[in-house]
Amino acid sequence: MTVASEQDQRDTLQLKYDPRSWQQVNVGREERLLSTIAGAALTLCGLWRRKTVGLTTALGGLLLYRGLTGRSVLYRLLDLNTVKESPSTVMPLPDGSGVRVKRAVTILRPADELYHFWRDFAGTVPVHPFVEQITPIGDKSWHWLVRLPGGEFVEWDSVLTEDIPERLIAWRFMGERLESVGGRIRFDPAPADQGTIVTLEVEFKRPDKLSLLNIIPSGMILSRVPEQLVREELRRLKALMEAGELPQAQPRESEKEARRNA
Amino acid sequence: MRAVCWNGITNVQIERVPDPQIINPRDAIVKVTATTICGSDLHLYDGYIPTMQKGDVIGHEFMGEVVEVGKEVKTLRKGDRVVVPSVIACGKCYYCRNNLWSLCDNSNPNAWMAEAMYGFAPAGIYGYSHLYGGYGGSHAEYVRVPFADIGPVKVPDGVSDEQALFISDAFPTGYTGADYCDIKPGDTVAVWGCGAVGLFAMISARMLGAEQVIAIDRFPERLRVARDYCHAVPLNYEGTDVVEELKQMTGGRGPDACIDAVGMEAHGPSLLGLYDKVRQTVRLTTDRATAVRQAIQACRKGGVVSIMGVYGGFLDKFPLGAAFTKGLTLRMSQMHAQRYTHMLMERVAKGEVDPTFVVTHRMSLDEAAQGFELFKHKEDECLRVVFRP
Repeated sequence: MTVASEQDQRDTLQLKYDPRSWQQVNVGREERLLSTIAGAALTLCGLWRRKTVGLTTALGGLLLYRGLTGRSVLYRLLDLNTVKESPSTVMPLPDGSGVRVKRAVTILRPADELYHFWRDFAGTVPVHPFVEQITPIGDKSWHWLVRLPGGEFVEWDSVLTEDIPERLIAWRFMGERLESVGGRIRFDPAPADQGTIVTLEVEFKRPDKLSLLNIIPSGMILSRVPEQLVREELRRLKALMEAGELPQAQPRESEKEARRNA
Repeated sequence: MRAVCWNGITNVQIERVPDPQIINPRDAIVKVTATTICGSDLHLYDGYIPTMQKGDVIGHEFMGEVVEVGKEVKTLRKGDRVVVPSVIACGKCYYCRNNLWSLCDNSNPNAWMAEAMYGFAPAGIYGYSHLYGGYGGSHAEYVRVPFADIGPVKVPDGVSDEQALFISDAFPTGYTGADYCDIKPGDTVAVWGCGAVGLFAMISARMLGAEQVIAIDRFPERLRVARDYCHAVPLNYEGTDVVEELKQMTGGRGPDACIDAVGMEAHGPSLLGLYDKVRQTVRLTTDRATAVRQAIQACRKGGVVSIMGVYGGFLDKFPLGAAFTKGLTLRMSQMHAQRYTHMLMERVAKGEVDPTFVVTHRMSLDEAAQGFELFKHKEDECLRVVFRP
């Protein structure tokens, strides 16, 4: 059952881009970083040395544009593209508002067990980094307490949007300063007796605030962080369902605190 | 508690660190009664394993007494004497279920690090860098043992600490190496390296029915141990052409299987050996390959080369052409301890084998720094140092 469903095929097809579009990002990650650094250096250099200000600053500006936006005019004319983002795991949302991350893991447990674990939501707290608490409000909604990396708390509500027993669960988020718009998780049988293929798909919003994070657009940092997050969630789900606990070398900070207070 | 901390290249010190605590339901805390410096500790000591941090407690080959168990551990009780496999495994994932314990999916909290380096992550190992999980090591008074319901093996009365100790790592590593060789009656097995792992590989090869075992090293005292305790024919590689010698010792056929029990810091008298040393010193390559190169060259056509010495990164001048042309089978891994620990403990208890012949030095933890130097330079005929915390 590893054949992509109809929905997946559509997802992949959406990615088929027009290489001649002006909007198309066509410069790879490392190259963009180099362009940005070189562009900034040249621009500063040009402003410093008055004599060649025009030429140097113009070239610096071009490189900066290339680095920051990931769009190269030259590459477009030559029909080149050096972006290596794996298209099946991270894809930009059609309206450009963020990215969708989709990753799979195989867990040596039956689908019904995994489905019921996830369907409860409240019990999935250990699976999500940054999530402190999930409380049910009614049958199909939950209240999430999230502690952002800076230590600040935000609160979101989630609502169940799709529920196919032992097969698929989908949800949407509502609230302020959302990092994630929603997601879905699918359970497919793995070959032989290898358990269940769990596919987790989460949509992430580009932050509203203008920050360094979103000046450098989706190809770079913005897609890295969500991808690591989904990777980690799947890894934790697997460990929790198979081994019954999350591997840990050191006590968590909260546990250390609890011990100190005890 | 007191513990041996890694503070930089060839810098280990005894320090006071916080006692380990139960974190997970399947944990236990073990009071260490014996712990030994493994050859692979030297790769940490010499700075060849990445992701070490100053202050990391090292050590992974140990035994001790259970002092506390988590609420899910039903198989152990306070006061049990146990020997603990150095590789940590959950016992529930695909790999554990298929007896590939050192490939456990769920015991490495830093799996992402290893995934970036190796594509997929190996199991966690006590005190063996953050790449292998960042767990506290065993050269300490106490160790936290995760998945204690699966790994630790009870030591029967009548088996001493030192007899049980090597079932933690060196013995099953040697056994894994020999098991990979698919030994058939009449086979000759050549083993590079007469450290503890090599010696246990020789004993294991005999257990599995090898007719002739050849021990390769350059230290006469180690070759003597191989001859006296492991019934191996010694071959000193210094001043001789090992490949040619092995051919002649096997009637021109070559060994049926070769075991590399040396790994990434091999010494070689040849020009190529010097080349490796220079490149490794300036970090152009991470691994020195003399032993495995010779093993591939010497092995008979269609034979098995079994690699138990540790490699961490990239190997230069690897003779893949020879391996391909001769149709060799290459097998390698960290040992799958849990596959063999019970069987080995039974054999030790029955008196079939007494692993204590590898112990040459006994020290307290406070002497750790001297212990490491002694072991690294093989001074005073040092074969294995055992700390009794």
